[in-house]
Amino acid sequence: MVDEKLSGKVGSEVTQGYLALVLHAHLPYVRHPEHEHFLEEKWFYEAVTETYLPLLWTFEKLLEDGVDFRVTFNLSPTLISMLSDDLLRQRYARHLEKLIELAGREVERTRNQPEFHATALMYQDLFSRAHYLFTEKYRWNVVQAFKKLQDAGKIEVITTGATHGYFPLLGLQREAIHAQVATAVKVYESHFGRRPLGFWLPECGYHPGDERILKKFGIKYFFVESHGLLHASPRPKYGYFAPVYTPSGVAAFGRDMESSKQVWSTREGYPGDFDYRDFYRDIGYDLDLDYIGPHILNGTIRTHTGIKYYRITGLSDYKEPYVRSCALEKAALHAGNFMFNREKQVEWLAQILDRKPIVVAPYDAELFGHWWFEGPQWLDYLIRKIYYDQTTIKMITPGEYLQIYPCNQVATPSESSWGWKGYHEVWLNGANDWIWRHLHKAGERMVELANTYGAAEGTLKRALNQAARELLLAQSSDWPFIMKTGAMDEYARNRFKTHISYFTGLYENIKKSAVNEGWLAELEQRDNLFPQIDYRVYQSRNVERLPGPLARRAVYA
Amino acid sequence: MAITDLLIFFLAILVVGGLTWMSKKGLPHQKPRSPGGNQLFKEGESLSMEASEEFTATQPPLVGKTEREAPGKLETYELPWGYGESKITALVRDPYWLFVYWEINQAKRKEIEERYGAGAWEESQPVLRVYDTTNRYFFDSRDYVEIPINNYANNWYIHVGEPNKTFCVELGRVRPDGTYIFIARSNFASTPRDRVSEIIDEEWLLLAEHEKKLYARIGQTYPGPSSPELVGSPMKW
Repeated sequence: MVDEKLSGKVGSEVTQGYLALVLHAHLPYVRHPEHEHFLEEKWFYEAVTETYLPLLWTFEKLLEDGVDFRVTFNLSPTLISMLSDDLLRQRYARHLEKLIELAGREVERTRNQPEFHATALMYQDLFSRAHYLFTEKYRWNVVQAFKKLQDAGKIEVITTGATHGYFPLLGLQREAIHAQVATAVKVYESHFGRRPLGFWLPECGYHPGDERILKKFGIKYFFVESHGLLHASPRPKYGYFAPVYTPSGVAAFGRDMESSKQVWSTREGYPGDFDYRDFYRDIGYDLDLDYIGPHILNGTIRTHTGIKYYRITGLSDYKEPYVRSCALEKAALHAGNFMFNREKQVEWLAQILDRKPIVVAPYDAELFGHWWFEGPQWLDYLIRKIYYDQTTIKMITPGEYLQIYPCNQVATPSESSWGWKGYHEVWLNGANDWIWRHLHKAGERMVELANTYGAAEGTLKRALNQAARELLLAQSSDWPFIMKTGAMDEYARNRFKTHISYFTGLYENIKKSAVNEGWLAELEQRDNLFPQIDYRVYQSRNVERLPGPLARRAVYA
Repeated sequence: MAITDLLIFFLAILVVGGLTWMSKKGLPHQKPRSPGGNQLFKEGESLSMEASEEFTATQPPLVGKTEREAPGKLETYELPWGYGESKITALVRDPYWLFVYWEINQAKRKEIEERYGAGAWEESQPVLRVYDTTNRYFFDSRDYVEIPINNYANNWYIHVGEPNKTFCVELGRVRPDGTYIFIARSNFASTPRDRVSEIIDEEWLLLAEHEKKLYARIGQTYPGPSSPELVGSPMKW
């Protein structure tokens, strides 16, 4: 038996395994120039204020303090588009200013309530800092802040489907997958000056063969859900503790179940801890309408403001005031616990595997800060503890792991997703199964247009490009997702029907050679993402034609 | 009598008071979902997810159902019921279920009436035929499972119950005398595995760029002396 003291940090200075933290940041494209205040645009404001800016702040402080770390960060093309859109940026700055004003009034209002006052001051700091970062430090360009961290070697930014389309159900037209990937890569290149190394399959929705399209763009790796890799054929020697190469050479990394549960699980995971801030008790609902009016929608529809004074306290509706210092202590405790678990996991694996395992831990970025208020602090503590307090595990990006282990087993993961039940049901059920016939038909028509009008110019080209945009927007996996799970299902249904209708209109116009310029210009103004889009990404010559019966069949036993 | 009147009066006050109190509190606490969605409940442990067990029903929704008109904020569009085609498409939902949707146009119906006689349509029953086409390179039309459906459906969830198999679904009609009228055949759809693979032969790959580096280094001494030469004695095979 190894002496306990030596088996810990003191004796073993050698890394025994790796932790790949992957944050996936995505929002559907929501931009309504026709309305001054649109409810769903708040998703964007909240995510920027509560997640993206705090995370950037955390990473930059780590960099300044000389802490080495690695995080893989996915910025979806629709999110990048919104972060780069002038109208949304202006609206966001205005939103922040109003929030700061509200925070100031809250500080006043709670002056004689010590149990709330400290929290009010905390929000004032948070929003002021967000404003400083957004307007002064980053000069309204948040995407470049990510690029700086990538250039410093601490963050690896990857990309995902252009509008986060759900590949396994969209892929009846291979051209549709090609277009999602090609457009995404183009957006990435225009912001980061190079091609992405990694790809986040939307919802980890994997259909065997899609990686061949990723390969065309030089992508080296993608991610699948745990059972996607466990059920790979042939059976992977290392489970999901090492990647496999798909036959085309693109690597697949599988999600680790243990680290995922510790953070994601509502009952067992950290975010549910009673000392953490409660999400639902927002002053937008609690305070008097006269007071809160200017800060909620149209002065009458109660919404979240972001200012919440209570902690989870327990499983009932009874909530006690939030105490920041207790919450931070918990976050530190949980960070230590997470690290300890990863150490033990890796130590155990190192005994039975003949190589250093990689633990892949992907999370939605919005979990940190927005849903789990203390998330960014937990992350900060975790990264510092990993760097200062131990040597068993080291943070790594998937790309770096492939450099250490360039020789890997060849296997094809099985079709899967990280959605509820592990396959496609979330996006294919009674609430949303009706959309697929429209998406497939529109996809077919777009391919027809792209093949027919090979080298369009002028108005025709604009119409074709806009048709491509409308189709991409209709393909967002967010719509069927919200239709199944969300309170905003009316909105999602409207968005879907609107984009399909616009697409169909453009299709018919183009076929009749009678493009309505006025209407086209209106659409271009409204649905203005991906300025450099090229409709030719839908041409059939971009994709391999599999012979008839072999298309979409099981090839592996 | 007076007491019951008083009781009713009291109850009325309570009810009215309660209602006004509730409306003052604003909208009920609807749990907002971020578009990233229900991620806290990904592991299937959410309370709200349990309500959606009903989504596994095999009954198809009625044809031509329209969505409720959405209030206010966005213009609303209705999508076409169909696109004037005759085809059936198959999607995989999970290792045990397929989803098919189809459309039959007027031309097809006319064609059938012309070929099989007037009334052939009304008299026949619509069916789906599910073929297991795993590892088959040609179409064997004798082995199938027939599912009777109804004239109102334009989609169906099919429980095939078999992971890691490839299927193809046909849409047809069966006449009272048993003859089958073929209408359309779907694409192939393959159900995913639901367990680890039985194949454990490993194949390993070193990517070309690394291989080049490797062979560039060792290739400089290739071909080297063979062991017999080194040992100095002839080998006997």
